Amino acid sequence: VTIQLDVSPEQEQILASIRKVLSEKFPVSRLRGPHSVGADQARLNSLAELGAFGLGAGEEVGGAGFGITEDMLLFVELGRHLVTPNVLASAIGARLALALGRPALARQLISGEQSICISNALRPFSFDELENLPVHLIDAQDGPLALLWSDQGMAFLRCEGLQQQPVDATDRSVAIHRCSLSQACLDGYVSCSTTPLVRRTHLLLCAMLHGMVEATRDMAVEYAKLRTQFGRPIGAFQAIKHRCANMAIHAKVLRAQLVFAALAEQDEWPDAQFQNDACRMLAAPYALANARSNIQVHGGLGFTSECDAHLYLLRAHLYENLGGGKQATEQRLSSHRFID
Amino acid sequence: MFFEFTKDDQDFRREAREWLRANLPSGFAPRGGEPARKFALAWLGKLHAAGWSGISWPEAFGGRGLSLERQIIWHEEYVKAGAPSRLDPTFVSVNHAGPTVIACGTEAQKAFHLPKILAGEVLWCQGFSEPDSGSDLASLKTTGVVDGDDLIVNGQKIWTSYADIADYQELLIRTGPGSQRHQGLSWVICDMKTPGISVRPIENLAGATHFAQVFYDDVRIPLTNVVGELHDGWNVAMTTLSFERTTAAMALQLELSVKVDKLCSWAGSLEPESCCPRLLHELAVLRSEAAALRALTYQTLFRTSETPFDGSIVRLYFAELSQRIHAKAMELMGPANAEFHAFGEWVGAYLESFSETIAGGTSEVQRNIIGERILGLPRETSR
Repeated sequence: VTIQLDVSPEQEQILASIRKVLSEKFPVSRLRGPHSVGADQARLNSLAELGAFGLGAGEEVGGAGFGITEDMLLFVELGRHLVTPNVLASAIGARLALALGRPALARQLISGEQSICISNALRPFSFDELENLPVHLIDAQDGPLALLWSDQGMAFLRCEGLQQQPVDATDRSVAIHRCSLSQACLDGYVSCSTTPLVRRTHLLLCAMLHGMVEATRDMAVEYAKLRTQFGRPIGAFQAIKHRCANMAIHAKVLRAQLVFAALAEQDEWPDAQFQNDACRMLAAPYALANARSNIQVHGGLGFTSECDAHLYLLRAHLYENLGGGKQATEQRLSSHRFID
Repeated sequence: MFFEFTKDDQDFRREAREWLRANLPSGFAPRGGEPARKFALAWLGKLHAAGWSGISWPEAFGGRGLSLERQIIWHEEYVKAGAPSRLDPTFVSVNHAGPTVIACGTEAQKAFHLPKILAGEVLWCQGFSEPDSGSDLASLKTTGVVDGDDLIVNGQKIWTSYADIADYQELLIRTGPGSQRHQGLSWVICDMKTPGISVRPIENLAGATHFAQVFYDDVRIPLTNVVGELHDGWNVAMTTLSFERTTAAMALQLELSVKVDKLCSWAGSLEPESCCPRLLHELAVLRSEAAALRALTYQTLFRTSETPFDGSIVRLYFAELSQRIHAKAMELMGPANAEFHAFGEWVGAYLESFSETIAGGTSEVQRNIIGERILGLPRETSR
């Protein structure tokens, strides 16, 4: 047998330990209400201690030396729990540091000593012309380090001295600051032509979105079994049952493509970019569709902020635009050929 | 989790590709009647002579007994080569009846039928659905009464593809006197030339006549034609359908990627004003969905935790994606789609695609299965 798509016992073991920490320290309900902003910062150490930021990094920098598929599986779990995207910044930042020949920084990012946040540009840009580029910093901490990427490449940003304007975040469970970059912020850049880091970032982002697709499916199904109207659990009605079935289809389809994208990356398939693009094309729309369905299944309760359903919707909207490059992705996809 | 085709696999791929390239039949497959029979049997015979028929069948029964890896390589090369659709008149014999006879048939049944099926000498059709038993298959009423060494069959079947050109039929009938629902059914081999059988072809919405209604008036079928135990036909039928949901569907699923290729090529040749960003977006989505269907196909084959119920998700996703792709084709053709043959078989394929969400379990039934069997939601009280 040369093809096997099961999660291996070793991978299951990793996941079991991570699930335990996540269910104890990161229940999604932690993000309800006005005090939830920055709720994850104090908890991130527990993930760093598990090695979550360095699962796929080499042991010489404090990583665990696993592969991309293990990283992908981990980020599905992180996504389920709506863990702050800082985890993505740490995991990818460590690899960027290694690509830039800065192992000390990689080690600090993996151990959690150095915090880092994700930044997202508000318009298309070139890394040569960062002056006055408006960006959002997501869950920025005291540390001034941020990760910025586009279809062109990826870079560290040093945001010391920049005026960081807090804004009301649509996703109320994260903090967002708006600031205007200067070229001097750029602190190490790698181009997409020399490293697959941007693709890996999107892979892990898709993994988090997939975790949300699964979580919303599970939440809706569980509620459909419990909630009774007209003398029956609402899940007995086809209108609800079929809605849940659609959520299950999204989860299964996205999972299959996510596994392909991860294997393509790990084994350097010639069509790795295509597998990644296809995954990305489906991940956010499926996460949004499931988030909306989950709200609907929960009825009036789903419309309240006392119910976790809205948290998945808001997070999906936050993730769908990270890294930009949608048009280029669509161009690549529509010019790809199955027959080569 | 690992994925690798070996060097031998790659050699196999090259061999398949080269054979297909050199041996593809020319022209489109006829849509029904004797010409469709001749075309399909000739193609299967050609495949058989070169060892390509029954690749999933065990070697003991004349097949190749190929690994799943090799099977999917063959199907990928098959659709990439643009070979005739696998959903042709030989589909039921090679993918339904043959595997069922292998799994449940007697030695005599195997010895008589299997070689004929693989060599492309006979066609089979399916006789499961009835006018009053569609989604609710277990309510079927066609009866078989034991009389000496025979069953005497009375009743009718419908939606039987290629009934007018088939030699044999996999026929599901009620043989248990007074039996209800799933109990008391039998799966029998029916020779379509037996006296008392009449076939009324039905023209479908695409204007093609490849399915039919079949009437049985005191049709005598020997008891030796029962496959599996008498009165145990439901289990045999479930075996039959399980084949449909696995390897047989591979080529059909993979074919959608080729169809999206065609759409993207058309879009590339359109005037810039016709190829708007919305169209690009929609093609990119279809391209991604077809890629995901391929990944799903692999997952179905190479993941041990898959259950027959997971097949409902694949089946449903395939069916609805197929319809989206064909509907997009109609849009891309523009006013030319008023001509049935303007773009080869596309208009016909679009119209035929309406059967995808009905045949083999409607989308509604599939969603019930997903909801109840996979997600564990309660059944409706009336069932």
